[in-house]
Amino acid sequence: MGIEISKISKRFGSTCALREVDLELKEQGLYGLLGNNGAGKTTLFNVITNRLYPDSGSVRVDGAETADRDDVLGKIYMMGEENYYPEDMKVRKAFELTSLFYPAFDKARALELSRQFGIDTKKKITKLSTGYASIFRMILALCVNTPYLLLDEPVLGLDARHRDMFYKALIEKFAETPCTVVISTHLIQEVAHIIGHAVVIRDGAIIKDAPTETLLEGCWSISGPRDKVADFVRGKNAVEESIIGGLSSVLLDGLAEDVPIPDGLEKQKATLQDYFIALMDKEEQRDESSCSQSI
Amino acid sequence: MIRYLNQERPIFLQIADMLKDAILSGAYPEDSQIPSITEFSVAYNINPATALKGVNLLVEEGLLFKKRGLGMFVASGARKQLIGQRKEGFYRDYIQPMIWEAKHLEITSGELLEMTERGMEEHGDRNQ
Amino acid sequence: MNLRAASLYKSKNALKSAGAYFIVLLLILLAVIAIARINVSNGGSSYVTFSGYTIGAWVMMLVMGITAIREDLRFFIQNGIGRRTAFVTQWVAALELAVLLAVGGQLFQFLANAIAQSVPNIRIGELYSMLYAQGAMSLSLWQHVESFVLYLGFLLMAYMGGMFFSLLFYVLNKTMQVVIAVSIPFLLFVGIPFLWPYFSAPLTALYQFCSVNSWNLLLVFLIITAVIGAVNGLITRRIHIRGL
Repeated sequence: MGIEISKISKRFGSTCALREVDLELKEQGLYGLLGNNGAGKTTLFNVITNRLYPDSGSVRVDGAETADRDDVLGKIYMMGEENYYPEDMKVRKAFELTSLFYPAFDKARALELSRQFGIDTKKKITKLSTGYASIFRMILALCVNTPYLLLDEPVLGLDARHRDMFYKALIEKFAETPCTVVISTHLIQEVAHIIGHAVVIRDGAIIKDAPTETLLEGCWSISGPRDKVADFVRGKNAVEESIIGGLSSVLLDGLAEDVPIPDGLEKQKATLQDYFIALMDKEEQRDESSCSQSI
Repeated sequence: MIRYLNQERPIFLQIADMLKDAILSGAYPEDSQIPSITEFSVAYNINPATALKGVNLLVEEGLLFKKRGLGMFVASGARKQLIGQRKEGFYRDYIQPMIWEAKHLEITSGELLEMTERGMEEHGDRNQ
Repeated sequence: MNLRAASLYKSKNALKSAGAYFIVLLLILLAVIAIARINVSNGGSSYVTFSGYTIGAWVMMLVMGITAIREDLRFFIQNGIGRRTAFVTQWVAALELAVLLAVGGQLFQFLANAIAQSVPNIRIGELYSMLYAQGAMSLSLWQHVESFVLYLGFLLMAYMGGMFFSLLFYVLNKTMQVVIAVSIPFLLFVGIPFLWPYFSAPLTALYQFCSVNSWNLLLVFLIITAVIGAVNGLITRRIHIRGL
């Protein structure tokens, strides 16, 4: 059961979008596909949903390959960043047709969400503003009730209030009808508490794939007077440091829970965003050093 | 009640704390039903699994119990149990930090006792 | 293959389109007849041949072929329907529409013939009658059958042709698109006259073959349809479906 992605590679001209990506989404849950713009998130989603074919590798959903099989494709629903609906189709019509293809589609819920978010269902899809076009696609995604849901940058273009409403609607849907949801985003901290599992992707390759709890285990931010902090972190795995005048803050990895913190220092659990940024910085440095080596 | 989550402790522990506070204060009376996991996770914008973890912590401690088909209920005697728990940690969680802070500010023993008595008077005798 | 849902979606449009077309053409015909009549009563002697239905139907199929494939590939993949089903529904929809238009064409000819009895200087013709019935306006039942079948081949060819160009422009990059766009008129006006002597023999043979009866022409239409259709299928198989 689950989605199995094996050795997926995809190249667009001279750009390598995906490099031998291996990923298994076995259990139901909320997964975050975290990465910066251009990391390959959308391409991966496109490959999973058979919108494009990879150069090599395979995707299996519940054991069966997705390629051109309607029964398998019908298990995954993707909310993309682009509109795939005909030019003059109205929102309401789209809802009706979705029932045709997804018998489990909750049309009543869709109409209720449309009301809550303020979408005019008589409007043509292509005439919706960017934000509302996103909301339209999101409402469909939240109501189709497929076992697998892929949300590609779902809150892009949404104002703060709508973002909040979206997360609440998503959590409610997930709590009522658990499934496998993958949210791809570069807004790390927004989804930090919602996702249970983080898959970090950089330059087409997956660099971390673990439950968020595991990733952040032992990750603490120690702050206080510079010297005191330096003393404490000596010999420990310091991932990142930021200094303001006489104060400094260091992100440590691998710090045991019960290590006593000296007076004057503050210990705070690292956020997923802190971790992510530190990870990206480390990877950048690694790239630069290998670059300079080859030069 | 914690409306906003902080970065100090794991989320599920904060949920558990919040539930305990609510039971203690009477917001969730004994033998009454508490909100569902869905409601908690939506209210705090967290993964339902995390909310469940927090709730289960209280279930393990015997403060909550599940009624089949209905949901989670506060156990009778939960308040007493919590008061007992918290009294144990009172010295460690409140007295000790207070002493340290008092020492930093060079407050004497006598001054401290005076302040304590004044505080008890001002806030009345809460025997609930 | 979830053909049922996909076909249902397409069928709803076919009937509407064909019905609308028929009504529009009928109105145009009536207008043309009225104008011709006025002309006659004013002493004019112009002779009008109206074959709008055939041309219009062909254009309609062409346009449908062009627009449907991209729209359908997108819409279907968004709803969990794959390329293969999308392609098959193109054929189903094309056939449905072709049948409706072909039947409409027979009806049109019949009506036109009835109406035009009173107007001597107008001739309403369609593909079959003009090629194989010396332009007769009244056709026998068998001739209607032959006409109907010929229409099917003719219209399917148009649909597949439209689809081909649509797909071509979908998969080619800008440069290639320009190359193709330029080479078509070039081929028509320079290439064909230049190559004519080399191909005149086989083409003449083909022409004679088709002149024998409508079934030969139908065969040619069907072969062309099959070839283009197969190419379309190959392109569709691995196409990258992008959004709007």
